[in-house]
Amino acid sequence: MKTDLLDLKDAYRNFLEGNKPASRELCPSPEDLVLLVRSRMPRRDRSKIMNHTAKCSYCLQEVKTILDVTNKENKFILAMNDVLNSAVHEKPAQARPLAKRLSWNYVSVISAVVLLAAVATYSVLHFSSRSDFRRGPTANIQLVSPIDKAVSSGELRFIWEAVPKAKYYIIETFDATLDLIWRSESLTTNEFQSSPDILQKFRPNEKYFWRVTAVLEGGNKIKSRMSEFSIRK
Amino acid sequence: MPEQNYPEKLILDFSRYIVSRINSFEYQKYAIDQEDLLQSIYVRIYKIFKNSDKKRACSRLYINRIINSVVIDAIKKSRKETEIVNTLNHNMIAVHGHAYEKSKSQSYDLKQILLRSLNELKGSRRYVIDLYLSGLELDEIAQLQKWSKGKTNNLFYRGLKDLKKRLKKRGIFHEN
Repeated sequence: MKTDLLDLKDAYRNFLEGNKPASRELCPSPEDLVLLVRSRMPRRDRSKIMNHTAKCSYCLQEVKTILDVTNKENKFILAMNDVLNSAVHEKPAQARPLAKRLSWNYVSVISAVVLLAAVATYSVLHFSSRSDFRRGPTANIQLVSPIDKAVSSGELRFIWEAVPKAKYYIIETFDATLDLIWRSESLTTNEFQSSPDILQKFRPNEKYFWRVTAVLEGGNKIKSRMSEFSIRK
Repeated sequence: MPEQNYPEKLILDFSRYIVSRINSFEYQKYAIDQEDLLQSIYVRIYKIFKNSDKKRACSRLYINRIINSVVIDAIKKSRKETEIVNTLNHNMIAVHGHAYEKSKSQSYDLKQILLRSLNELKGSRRYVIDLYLSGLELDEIAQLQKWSKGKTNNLFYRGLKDLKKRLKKRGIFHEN
């Protein structure tokens, strides 16, 4: 008889299905399964649970679910950090009224510091001929198109505002769960027309997000915020 | 979608994902309201972002706690329901068991030979092959066992080689 991995998998799953325990009393508790996946378990206990899990289809399904959820959770936390950090840079926290925060003793000192800072800033902006002082490396990239709209497949053209001193740009597109769908090569212009093979990666009427990363001459990177788009049929 | 709503959308998408994974326990069968579950996860995650300061909210610990409790609750409920269904099934098998025995086919032979061959594999190789055949990917096995990908791949290919040898002895030829 000839067989391959798929047949073996079928046979093994068949065995697991046929050997489902009548009761879950001997199965490890859900708390233990969570600990197993989240790396907080002594090696000996882990081996014991893994031994059981490899032969119990119920526990296996539960472990797989916890694994999937944990992996998704990591991506979610990274994405939230990304979004919240960019929001913090763009919108500083609303200041409380000055009178509540300062006592009169400090007002004169702070006024002097503010005045000095204003003079220094004015000097730099006024006397420098370099325009990029007005938009330093911490500036954001402004996306121009597409922003929150559906475009027909032939018109998928990514456009954003050029960044001074940018060496090259990279476009990244993500699906609704923020999995990376496509990443461009290094681009030297501030627009990009999608080719048919790139368009194939996007399904019609589904939500996608895109952002641009500008790599500056010194190696610093600036990322734009994400913007939504979709492709019409 | 306005940009300001972006974190909310992220939370909603994440909550939907959790519900979809929990659905793998076939909750629909047991009439548990999907929308309620989604809403409760969404609200719990949303609250920590809304009420805490941003840095604390982003810490893994807070999200971990919520997700752990949601998943553990789901597993417990599912186990409880499975227990009831299993009792009914076992009663049915006790009544109609003879007919079931007769319907075993050629796949039964392969299953038995595979099990005997697997039993002869040793230690970690056996683990990896068992888990792989039961549907886990090699990456997932590495993550569970806290092994490197290299070690897991190595154990898998060595285990598979051993398994093929043993299957061959029993008249089953494995094709790549």
